[in-house]
Amino acid sequence: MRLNKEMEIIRRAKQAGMSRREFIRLGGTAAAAAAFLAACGEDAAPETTAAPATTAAPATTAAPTTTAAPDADEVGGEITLWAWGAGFEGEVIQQRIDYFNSKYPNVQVNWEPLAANGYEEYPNLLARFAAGNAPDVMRMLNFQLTQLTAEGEALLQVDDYIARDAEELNMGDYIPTTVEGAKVDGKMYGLPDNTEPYVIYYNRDAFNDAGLEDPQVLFQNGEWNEEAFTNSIDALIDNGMRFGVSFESWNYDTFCFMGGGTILNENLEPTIHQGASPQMLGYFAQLIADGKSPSPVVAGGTHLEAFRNQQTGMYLMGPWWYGALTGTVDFDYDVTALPSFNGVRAGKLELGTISISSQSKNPEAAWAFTKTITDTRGLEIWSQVATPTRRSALEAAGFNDVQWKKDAVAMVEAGTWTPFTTQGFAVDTACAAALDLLWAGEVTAEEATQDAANRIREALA
Amino acid sequence: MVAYGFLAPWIIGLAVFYLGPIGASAVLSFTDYNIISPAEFTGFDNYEKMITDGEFVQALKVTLYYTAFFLLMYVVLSLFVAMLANRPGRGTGLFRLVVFLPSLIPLFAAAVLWGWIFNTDFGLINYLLDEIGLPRQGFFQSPEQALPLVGMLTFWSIGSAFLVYLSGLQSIPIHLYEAITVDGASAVRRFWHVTLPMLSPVILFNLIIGIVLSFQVFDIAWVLTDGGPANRTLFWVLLIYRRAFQDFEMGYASALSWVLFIVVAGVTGLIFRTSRWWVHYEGRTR
Amino acid sequence: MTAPARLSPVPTGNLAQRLQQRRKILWYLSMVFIALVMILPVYYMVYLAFSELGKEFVFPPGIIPDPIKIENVLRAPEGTATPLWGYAKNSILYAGLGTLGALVAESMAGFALARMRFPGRNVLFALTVGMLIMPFVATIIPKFLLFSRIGLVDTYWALILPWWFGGSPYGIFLMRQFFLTIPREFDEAALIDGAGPWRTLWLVLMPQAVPVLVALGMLHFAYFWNDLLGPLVFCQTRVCKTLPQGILANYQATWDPQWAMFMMSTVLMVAPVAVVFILAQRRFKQGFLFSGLGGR
Repeated sequence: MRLNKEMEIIRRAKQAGMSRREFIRLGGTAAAAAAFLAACGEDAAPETTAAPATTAAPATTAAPTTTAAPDADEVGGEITLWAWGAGFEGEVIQQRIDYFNSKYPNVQVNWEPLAANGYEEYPNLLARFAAGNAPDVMRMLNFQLTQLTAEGEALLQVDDYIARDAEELNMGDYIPTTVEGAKVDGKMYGLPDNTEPYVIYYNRDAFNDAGLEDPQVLFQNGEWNEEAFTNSIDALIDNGMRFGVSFESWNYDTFCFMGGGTILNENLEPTIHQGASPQMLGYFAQLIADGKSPSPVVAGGTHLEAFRNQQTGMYLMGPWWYGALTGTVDFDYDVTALPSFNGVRAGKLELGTISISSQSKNPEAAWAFTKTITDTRGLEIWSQVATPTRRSALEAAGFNDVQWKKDAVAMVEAGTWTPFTTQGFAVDTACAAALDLLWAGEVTAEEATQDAANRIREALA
Repeated sequence: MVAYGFLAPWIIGLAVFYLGPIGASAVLSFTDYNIISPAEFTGFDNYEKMITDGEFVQALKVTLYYTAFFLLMYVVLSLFVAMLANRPGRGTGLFRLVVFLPSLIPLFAAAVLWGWIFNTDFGLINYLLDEIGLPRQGFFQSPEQALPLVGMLTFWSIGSAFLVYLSGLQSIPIHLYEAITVDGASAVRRFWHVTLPMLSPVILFNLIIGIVLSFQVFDIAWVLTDGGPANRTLFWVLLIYRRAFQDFEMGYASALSWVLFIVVAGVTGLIFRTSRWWVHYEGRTR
Repeated sequence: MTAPARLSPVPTGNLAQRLQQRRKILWYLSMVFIALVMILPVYYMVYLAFSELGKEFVFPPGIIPDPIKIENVLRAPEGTATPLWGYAKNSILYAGLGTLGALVAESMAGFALARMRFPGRNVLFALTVGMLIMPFVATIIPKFLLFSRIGLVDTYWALILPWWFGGSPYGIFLMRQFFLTIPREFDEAALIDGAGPWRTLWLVLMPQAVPVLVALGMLHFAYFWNDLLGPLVFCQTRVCKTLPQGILANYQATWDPQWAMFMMSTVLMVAPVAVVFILAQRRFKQGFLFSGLGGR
């Protein structure tokens, strides 16, 4: 099938007036090229029958075959799970699989852990889609949903399944922002799994030494705002800390959101040069210019190290370092929400979903797996390493009893993100390139954001 | 016909891993292909897009600038270093080792090391500048300094060119130097009239290898600068990698890599063409 | 510049000596300067490798780490996020099998190109030399698509297979040049003794080629060992990720470098190759000289 497509290209190239000789010259040696393409095709051919992405209309794969959920022991067969998770995270994923099997004993889940994360292994996932042997269930990052749906309906749309099992699922239990993050064009392509907001780490000892009020207390009193944040930075530095706060420049979107700004609107027009965004970016650029924040790093990681080694009193990042810092620092630290600017409290939200491939030959089992590991108990298990998306799971896991976790959940509620497009990476690199000049102090925030807007338009064109 | 038996692996390899892919890459460059959906023939769209793509123009500039720097280090300065090391004297053995050693350090690790040494706020170099009363520099974080710095640091990886020069220098017959020294020629004249012409085939070799290497620079940008700041280290290969394996525009990325191939082939071809004017071949065996 | 030099009186003994002296001092100074530029960063790397965590923020750094953390040697391979042993095994397999396969294929092709007459020889040789300038990245996308179709992505084969089919154009070229330097009488004598070309290559010529094979092998090994782009594209899962990816995974994927551990991992990665390289270069001088990598 794919071979035919390639051959079709060659045929069309010929029809377009390209003689065979020209074609040979073009390709170096057409014989080798043809043999190469044939090699590509031969192996792909038998597999394409198994690939509904190209043979079957997505609509037919999206609908469940029964009107009611089958009984747990009626669901059987094998499913493959594509998920990353090393070390303890991997153990927790295995616990979730075991939990699923305690409910659905007849389904065999094959999981081969990926090494690092969902970014690096992503091309490999696409290759498996192309070869027609995509995994049944996948742990996805939310930008990938857009890419996978836009480029060939690779994911199973689960609205019908959700409607069928509505009672069991209790969608209202999810934090609303996380449900929005599982949608593409208003349709659900998976169930919300985990969510990571952005927060502030702070060196409590340094805050005490500088005579500053604890940020967690300020946050509870509704006083953790721009003024308090700026004061803390200055007082920390006056008290001998080299920098007040450090942040990674790739979090520029978080900065914009913090004051109510945006990067792109729903119609995919750039908005980074409007509203609060230039003001917010200008605020953070000024911190660098004044020597209150270290320059954005090119070699990643030094800002966490700077926090760990007491070079900076605060660090803006996701909450995932909380555990990693324990035992490696000899000072008291904690985490709280981002400060509010312009009376707005907002921040970037990273979302993960569990999604099902439209190539799955066992969608019923895949769906059973998806809904089980994201139910209250499934997410409670998951909460050992991630922030769960159901309120009931947050309650069960004791998130409401730990102050920093409560603050982090507040950031989930207030979370937002840039609308996803298939050109997400291009938009991101375009913004980063434009804003580099701002961080270097060479242009104003207005100029930088205007430039970023132009580059975004170019990337989306 | 036995010959084909011996050559079979290479003939297959040539077809499957060299000519086939470069041909397929040419075909792909006329398509829109994202891996998941079947490829679509789009004529010269990718090439038209390239002309108006600001990032490609930037990548082209950056790569050419880097190439100039790299060749200066790899072809010119390494010759100077090799000549230093070619004088008999105490410590030259150790010197050769020291010059070669850094090129065994993988580029990704060297990149991280450089990033830390030149870090704006916590780096060793800015600490030293501070100590001697000079202003701190942005280095990799400065849009103006990043690329020249990357270029200068390639001095660290001249090891293999250095060794090639050294073996070339050692194979120049001594009597040629003796003959010209009798005429009372200065060191400069000896260099221009003996060393350089005798070494020209080796220079050609290093020049070609240097060009092929410099157009493929990737590790340092991928690990250290991510193309920044402000795309000032956006190397061609990094752009190809991003388009192919992050945006999954396999067609456009193929067009980019095809043009890269053409440029490298063109430049090296041009150098070969002109080499008859400046490369001096004597009936000698290296 | 040369003209006044000739007009000036011929330097007398004392002056000539002083000139000689001054030149020698200048020469030494240049060497010392360049040596420092080359070695100080390496030293700083080793320094950090043996330092405490957090030492990188302490200035001035001092001449030697204080305290010296020998245990970093054992801690670094455990990794800050993921252990390095598996990656190291993959790297050894990749570099070892790749080098071995490449040397065999290059010898065979080089032998045929040097010793045999067959139709298409000149074309093939020209193509081989032409491939010297083929940028790796120009073929990477089709190779990725091919390998992913036939299920070789994420296996060792995606990295090794291309090297088993002919090795590198450079290696073939080098082996051909080397076989040309061996007098034909050698193989003719072997042929008269009834050995076929296969046996002639392996039993008569290859033993003589050991120094060149060692040099070329080191070159290949170092390339595979340090390669990043290839594994990055073809190996995305743990199954075949290599050491550079493992070290970077600890450093980059977690944004938690722990400099001492990163530097120690690198030192441990480079050290064996450097030692073997230095020893091999001493032992097989002619080979390194021939392959253009010769020192003394």
